[in-house]
Amino acid sequence: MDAMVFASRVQEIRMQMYRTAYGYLGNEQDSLDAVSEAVYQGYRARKSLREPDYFTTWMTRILIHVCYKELKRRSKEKMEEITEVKTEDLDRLSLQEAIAHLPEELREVIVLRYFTGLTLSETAEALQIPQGTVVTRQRRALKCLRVELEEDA
Amino acid sequence: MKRDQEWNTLLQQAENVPDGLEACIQQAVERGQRSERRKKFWKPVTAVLGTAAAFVLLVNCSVDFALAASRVPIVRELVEAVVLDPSLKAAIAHEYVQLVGETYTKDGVTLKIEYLVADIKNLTVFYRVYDEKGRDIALDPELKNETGEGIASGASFGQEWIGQQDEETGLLGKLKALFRGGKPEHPIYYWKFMIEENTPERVRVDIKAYQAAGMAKLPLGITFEVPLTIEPQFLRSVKTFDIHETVSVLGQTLTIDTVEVYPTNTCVKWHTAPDNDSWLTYLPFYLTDANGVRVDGIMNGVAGSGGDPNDGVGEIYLESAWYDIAETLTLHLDDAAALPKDLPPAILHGDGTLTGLPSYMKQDFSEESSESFYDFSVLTEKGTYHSNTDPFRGFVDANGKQSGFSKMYSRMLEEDHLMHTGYLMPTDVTYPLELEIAFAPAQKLPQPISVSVR
Repeated sequence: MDAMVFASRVQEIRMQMYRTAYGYLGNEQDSLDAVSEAVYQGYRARKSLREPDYFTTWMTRILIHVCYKELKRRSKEKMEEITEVKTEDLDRLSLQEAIAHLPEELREVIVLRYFTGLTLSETAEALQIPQGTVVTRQRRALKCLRVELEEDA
Repeated sequence: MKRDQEWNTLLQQAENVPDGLEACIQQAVERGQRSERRKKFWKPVTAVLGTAAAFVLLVNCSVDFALAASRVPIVRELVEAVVLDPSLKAAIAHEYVQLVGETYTKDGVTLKIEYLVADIKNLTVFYRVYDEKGRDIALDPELKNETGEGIASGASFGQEWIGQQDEETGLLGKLKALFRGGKPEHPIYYWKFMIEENTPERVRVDIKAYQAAGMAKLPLGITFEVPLTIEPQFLRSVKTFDIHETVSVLGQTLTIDTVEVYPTNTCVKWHTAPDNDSWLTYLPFYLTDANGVRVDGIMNGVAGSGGDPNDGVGEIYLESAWYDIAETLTLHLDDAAALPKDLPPAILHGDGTLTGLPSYMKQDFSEESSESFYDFSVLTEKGTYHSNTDPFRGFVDANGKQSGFSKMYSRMLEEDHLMHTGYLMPTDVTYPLELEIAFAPAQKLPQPISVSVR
């Protein structure tokens, strides 16, 4: 993928990327930093993208990776691990904190589906899991967070 | 306890995209570009410095160049456009140029095809583009034959005017000083195509126009279809030297078949013996003549080598040896890389450990980055690294399923002189994985090879 095409494609999905980062990191500055780092890494690795049709999911995976690193850095800074907590314990946290404390497998589904705005099939493709698994994890995550939404396809 | 209201508020906050996002992305892309330019110009540092320094000398000292540039203003302008392409510069200095002079206008965008430089295997098209509405226009060309089939196997674009490129290295600043007077109003750019078969007399370039907005490219719905007729004398220009000489390189049998010299590049064709025990993955040939003129591999423009070395057949592209070359011409090879055919694969285990790496590669780290992926990376000694290949070619999982993988990043760690290559691997494959090693370090040949070309 040439540089101009990359720059154009990444601008097209910038809002989606920001929302993804916000879903993980929960504040504007860290989200901008994560998007910036992901775009930089994506630019450097763009020649390895063999299927341009998968650009969005490819960039999303890079961004998730960057966000995950940032979360790990934060937890090290606080000398604590983001540990999985029970549903009743999540109630004591703000929703943003509760999302951060979801098990990774549930959190990434919530972020991709509701913050990034991916469809079920796009989420499944981005995470390389079956659609049925996405549905199951989405349901479990919303239940943990005590958010009731209409089921969608 | 329900959190529906809190949920909606949080999603709304995420929708409040900050104003600086677009600029933030553009800056990240520019950071990537700067990094690539640094990599391009500083890796390997000595080779680039040497080439650039030699080039500055050539620009200053070449009599042909100086005469042509001072005599004909158009030539000077053309040479400015190809200043980093020694072969094109030489062709233009020798007036190996066909005038085109065709203008096309659509929806306010004007495209002027000014000149072309053609030989049997290569076509370079020089053009200007401007827009009456003042928009910056970017173009994507596709080279076709008369029946509309794509005929280019590679292309490079001289779309950056030289004066724009001096921020990072300082080196180009010296070159920039050669061209006083600032950027012309409508600078000349070029596309350089490598032709798959032979260049036909009649070709067509389909050119899509975009508005360049920062680094983004917005479609304008404009396509120019430009027919070009190449003067036949340009399509008879090749000097083929049959070599058919077999040499031993790092214990491997290598036959140099031909050296084909074109006005805008040189192609060395070779093959290896099937019973070799290693693949020759890096063959940096160069030519010299009796006067000490040296012709190196192509560093700018279309790929420096062709063919998959693992097929045992290959082509290496050098700059053109068409002009100013003495009667005697010699092909040299001082370095090479050999990858043993029976090199066992490295093994990536389910816990992320990587075993079986050759001594010149080592694992940097591996960690689970989410349920679905984990990250691992390898370090390769900079001194032995060359740009021809990635550390791994692909992998086979425990069920025998073959896959390629995408590198996450590849960067030079300046502080410890290592090339750092990172991969993001799915975890839903069946471990352990066998990783096919593609990289072999370059070595100085104990006895450099020299083969007489003519």
